[in-house]
Amino acid sequence: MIHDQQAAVDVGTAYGFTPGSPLEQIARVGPGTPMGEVLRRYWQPVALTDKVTQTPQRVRVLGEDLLLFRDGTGRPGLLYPRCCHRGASLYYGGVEENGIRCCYHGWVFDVEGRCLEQPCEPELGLHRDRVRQPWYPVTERYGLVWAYMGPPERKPVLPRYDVFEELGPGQAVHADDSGFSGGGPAELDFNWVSHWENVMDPFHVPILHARFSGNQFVPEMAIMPEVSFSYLDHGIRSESTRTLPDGRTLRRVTEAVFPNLRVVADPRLSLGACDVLGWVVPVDDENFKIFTLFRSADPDRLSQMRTAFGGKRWAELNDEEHRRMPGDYEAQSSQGRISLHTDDHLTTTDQGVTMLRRMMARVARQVADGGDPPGLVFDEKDELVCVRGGNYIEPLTDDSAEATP
Amino acid sequence: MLTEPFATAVTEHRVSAWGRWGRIVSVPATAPAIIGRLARDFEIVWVSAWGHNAHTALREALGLPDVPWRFLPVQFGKARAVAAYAGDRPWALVHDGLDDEPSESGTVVRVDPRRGLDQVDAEKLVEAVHGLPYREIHRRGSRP
Ligand code: FES
Ligand SMILES: [Fe+2]
Repeated sequence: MIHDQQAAVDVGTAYGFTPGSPLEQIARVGPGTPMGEVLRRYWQPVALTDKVTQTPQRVRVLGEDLLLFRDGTGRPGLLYPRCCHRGASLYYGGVEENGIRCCYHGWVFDVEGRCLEQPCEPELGLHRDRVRQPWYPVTERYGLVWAYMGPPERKPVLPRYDVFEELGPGQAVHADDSGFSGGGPAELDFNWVSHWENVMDPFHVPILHARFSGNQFVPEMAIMPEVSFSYLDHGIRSESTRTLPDGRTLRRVTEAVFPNLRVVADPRLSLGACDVLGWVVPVDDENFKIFTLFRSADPDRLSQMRTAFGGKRWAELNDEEHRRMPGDYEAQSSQGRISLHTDDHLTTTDQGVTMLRRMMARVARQVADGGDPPGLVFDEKDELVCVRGGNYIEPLTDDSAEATP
Repeated sequence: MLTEPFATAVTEHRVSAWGRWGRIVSVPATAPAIIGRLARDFEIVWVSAWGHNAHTALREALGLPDVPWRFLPVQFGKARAVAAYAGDRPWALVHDGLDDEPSESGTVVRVDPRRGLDQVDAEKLVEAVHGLPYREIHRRGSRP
């Protein structure tokens, strides 16, 4: 009786288990990768305006090593670092009024890569306009330097956001690059998708941030929500409904806006539209940064909003405290440098994640086929984007929530 | 359930399973009839990330029987799992996923996620699968 014998044997042991693999088409960000090409179709924040100076700095964005500086007239520039003459790095270059001078033979390039001077050549280079140092368009807004790393002929308009255009008395827009919402260090050392998917994972909140590690936000977050998920034109929305102890109903609306904008309602439940927006920007396949913009009269508002771990900040915890009070960083970084997505066992409460993965793969295919990804703005008159995420006590009246799969 | 932009007529349903989450989904208007036809000749099993919730959630939208069909708890390598479940019986997998589902022993019917089951010709599929030989895995396995 073969069946009886088998039933007595242990099953599911780790013996012979072979780990799965990442979903490459959504995880990789380098040039030519499916999702890398999607990300390159949008303006991406690459640095805080304040940190871009006349000292050239190395930056790595979407797997590309680049050089960021500000010329003497104040214009930011983002250049490929290897000098087009004979390859010395412009990191050792010197910034001048109109560009950067390579240390080796003194060629000067402006912020758009035009060669202005070849000092060893007759008349400073009679044919210097025939070379171009590879460059990317950059622009500044809201305290961030944004770069467009996609095909030049498809360059969109850099959007404005209603929550940053309508300021209250004394308020200003502030920018942050300290990894806000990552729950860990400023530069996060794992694949960006593990963080990005977490935006559409409302069910980890009552567990990780409340029941498991003690209330990391406010006690109401321990209430298990009822969540409805929907596809939007520009991303995925979750709407978490909680019945508060006083009987009122709280709706927490969070959106993952393509391709990498977090519109996450304040986990401390301040009411109203979300005025803290975060861009999850891959450094490369295994590292990312989060650039956050917020509106406030208090420039320190964001640091006060950071996750508390038993009254301490993340960086102050020792290993044992990290183990006892894990937060987003511990959970997400422990999924792996790049998560092994095919080993996941997704459930219906993970469907925000499923929907996001599906949409990413669909959009990647669309872009590979020559189409445009969603949410691009090509006309300045459409540049204003309305932020719909937030915490609401009243039922949400919303015309943009499509009832789709 | 279909993904926008739809390429066929749909009906909309608010679905859930045991509460906790909800979603408005669109299913092809033709889906209930197609599934009903397939169920006459096939043993239908779910191979979905919705797992045991799939039947409960979609019962009304698709006009499914009260007793849930079985589900296979896999999300990747679905064809392999179906083949293992089918054993020596002929089988077909209707697949709208983004990944490929290579198969040696059965039929994978690839459908556009914007059309879903609407793309399946039930009569043809029944006929095609009836035409497949029962596999001889047991006999083959016992050969020296
Ligand atoms: S319970 Fe979700 S990752 Fe372990
Ligand atoms: Fe979290």
